[in-house]
Amino acid sequence: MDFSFTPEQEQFRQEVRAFCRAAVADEQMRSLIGVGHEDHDPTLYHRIAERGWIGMQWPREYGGQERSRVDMCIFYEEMNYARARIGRYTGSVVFVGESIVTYGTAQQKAEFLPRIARGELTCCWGLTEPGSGSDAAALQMRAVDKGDHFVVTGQKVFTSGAHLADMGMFAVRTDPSAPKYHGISLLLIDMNSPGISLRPLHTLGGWRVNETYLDEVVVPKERLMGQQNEGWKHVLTTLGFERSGIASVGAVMRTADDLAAYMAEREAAGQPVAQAHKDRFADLVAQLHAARWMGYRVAWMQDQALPDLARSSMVKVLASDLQLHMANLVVDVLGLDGLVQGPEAPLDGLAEQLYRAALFHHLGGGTMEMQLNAIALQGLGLPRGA
Amino acid sequence: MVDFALSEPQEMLRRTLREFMQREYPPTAVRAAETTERGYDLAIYQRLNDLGVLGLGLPEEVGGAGGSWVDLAVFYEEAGRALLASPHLSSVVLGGGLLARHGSAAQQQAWLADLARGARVLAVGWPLEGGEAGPSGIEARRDGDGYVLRGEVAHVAGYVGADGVLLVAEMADTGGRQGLFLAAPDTPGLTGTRQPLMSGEPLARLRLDDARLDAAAAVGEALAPAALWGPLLDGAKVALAAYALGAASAAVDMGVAYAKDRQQFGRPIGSFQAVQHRLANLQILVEQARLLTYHAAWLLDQGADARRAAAMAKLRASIAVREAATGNILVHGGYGFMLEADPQLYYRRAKLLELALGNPDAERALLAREHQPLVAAQ
Repeated sequence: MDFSFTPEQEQFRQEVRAFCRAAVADEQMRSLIGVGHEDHDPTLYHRIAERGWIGMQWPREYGGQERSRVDMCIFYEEMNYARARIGRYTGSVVFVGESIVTYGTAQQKAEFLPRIARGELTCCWGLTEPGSGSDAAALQMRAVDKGDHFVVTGQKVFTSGAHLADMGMFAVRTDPSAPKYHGISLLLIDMNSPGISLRPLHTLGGWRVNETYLDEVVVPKERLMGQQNEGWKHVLTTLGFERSGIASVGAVMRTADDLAAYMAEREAAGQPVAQAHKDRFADLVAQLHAARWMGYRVAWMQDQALPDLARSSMVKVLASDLQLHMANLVVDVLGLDGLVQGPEAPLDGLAEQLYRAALFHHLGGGTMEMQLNAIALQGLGLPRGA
Repeated sequence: MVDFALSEPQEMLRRTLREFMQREYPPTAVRAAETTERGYDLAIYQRLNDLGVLGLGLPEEVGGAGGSWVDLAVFYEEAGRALLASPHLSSVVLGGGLLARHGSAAQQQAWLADLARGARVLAVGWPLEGGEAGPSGIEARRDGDGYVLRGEVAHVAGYVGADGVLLVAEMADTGGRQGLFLAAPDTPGLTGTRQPLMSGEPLARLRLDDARLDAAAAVGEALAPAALWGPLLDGAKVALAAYALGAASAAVDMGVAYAKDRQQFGRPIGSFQAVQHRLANLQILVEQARLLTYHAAWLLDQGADARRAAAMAKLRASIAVREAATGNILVHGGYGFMLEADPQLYYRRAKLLELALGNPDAERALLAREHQPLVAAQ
């Protein structure tokens, strides 16, 4: 049992932290207001790529640094704490990049991974459709096999970053006559392809996602990932990557520290904070420490190649809950000032935006109910319902 | 390097204890212990000596088994799973720990080896709810070459049947320093009243009516409370958190097993999402408690300040055991409310575990008072 990091890991953490303090300056923070955490700053992203941190866990031949998952967790924690605007990181590295590493062809690895690692190629993940959310396998987007290419028609919804990404990984139905979980394939599609159009969807959290329409889009056969018609198991693998990547403990840690600083200022100014609020805060901080170690444990288990057993879902549920409770507490402590928009409000006016954004984590990457189902079935071994 | 696995010897310890408990301490033993005067089965307690665990937490050089706080947490987690009733926390961890810290060579020789093998049991005159060093309610003043003690301390654990009691007393006219005194249960002026609890192990109210003790009864020097206890209260808090973690974990396991087996509407009740989600949420509470408890134990082993970590561990383990014990009854439906079923064994003990050595409100207040940022400011 060891809760310490190696000197190299501590040094890596300090490097990332120093980078963030220099790069994510107050001016950028203020400009975040009204835009939200899916926002992407290409300049910042390129500077991170220059440090070799995009795809850091990949083999060196693909532009990676062969870092561990624990290192990735350290990076995520520091980036989230700094509120760095790298919205495309998860889509490019965790969803698409990891998927290419795991079940892409040798040619796809050679073609895409180095470009992703250099920050030259950003990606989005197209799974959800109007008729298939939690029941993701009920997807209808159709890909007709024409021999050396597919022709793809259909619609995705809530596609994060489709308006920014160069490439999308799309789950499509290649065999409509097969049972639901078979007949699904994964295709890598150039987002500049003729036939792709987007309609913006503006979220409560302040950022944009998309309705993504594909109208007879031509996709070369070489862009098929993994086995044709057996893509559902690849989808499940990708969703696993998403769960372990999406937990935003670092962001809640930042909110906790900002709130503590605010409360200390209030006390010093002779406006005491209610004991009930201090006690709620103390409890959330304890849970936050637990969530932080649970996240590192998931990363450690991945490095040890141990089965997940829904532990990543547990972190996601807990971190999501903490986001919501912390957002509520921030507004409760600030009072109505917590609902005022703009940089003049306390906490750089972020309280109301954090409040609007908080529920994202209960929904993106799988609803809480789906996570609880996974914990029950894969974690506890409970039987599936009828 | 982060490593969330136990060492091989720790895994072996866990397995050995698990087998011991399954064999020697099934739920029938939990029920039987409740009918005893002491509230625990002395013979079973002493049989633990064969596993070499009773001396855990006491240095080998004074007759203990040595070991780390993580080792102790492993022992306590398995004990908690089985709801083992025992005087170990007060007798060895606190009593033995205080003697090892402050006792004279003669006092250590007189007691520690016996405590470490369960041959004798020592109570500590400390209110079980007290998670932080502070007044005990007993005052001592010098009287010639001895001492006179007066006052009352309630909720003393492990006193019934104990061979001795280590009293904690404020020394008069010292500005709040505390002293320790070894007293026999039949000391004139010392009365102990049994306080039966809903959970089976009785506590005791000790009253000292001008009880006179010789100079030889004093253990070490009078010290400020924090110096007296050192890390021992934090360590005991973490051990108790481990026990609560074990109990919570076992309660969830019991609920899961029942949900897989019990059928209604033509299918296992565990296939209904309401039941699945209840158990899944409980498992998350257990995992929180697990990481915080072992982190606190590890910090103690590093010799680091574990005060906040111990408070967090106790806070979340308390909540986990209360919620898990409650949820386990609810998963069992009406049957969970029956005494002949086992969920109530966990439920009646969970509330005590929640309150002992710092209830959630006390731990939250400690954490609020002594808050530290998650990331140090620049």
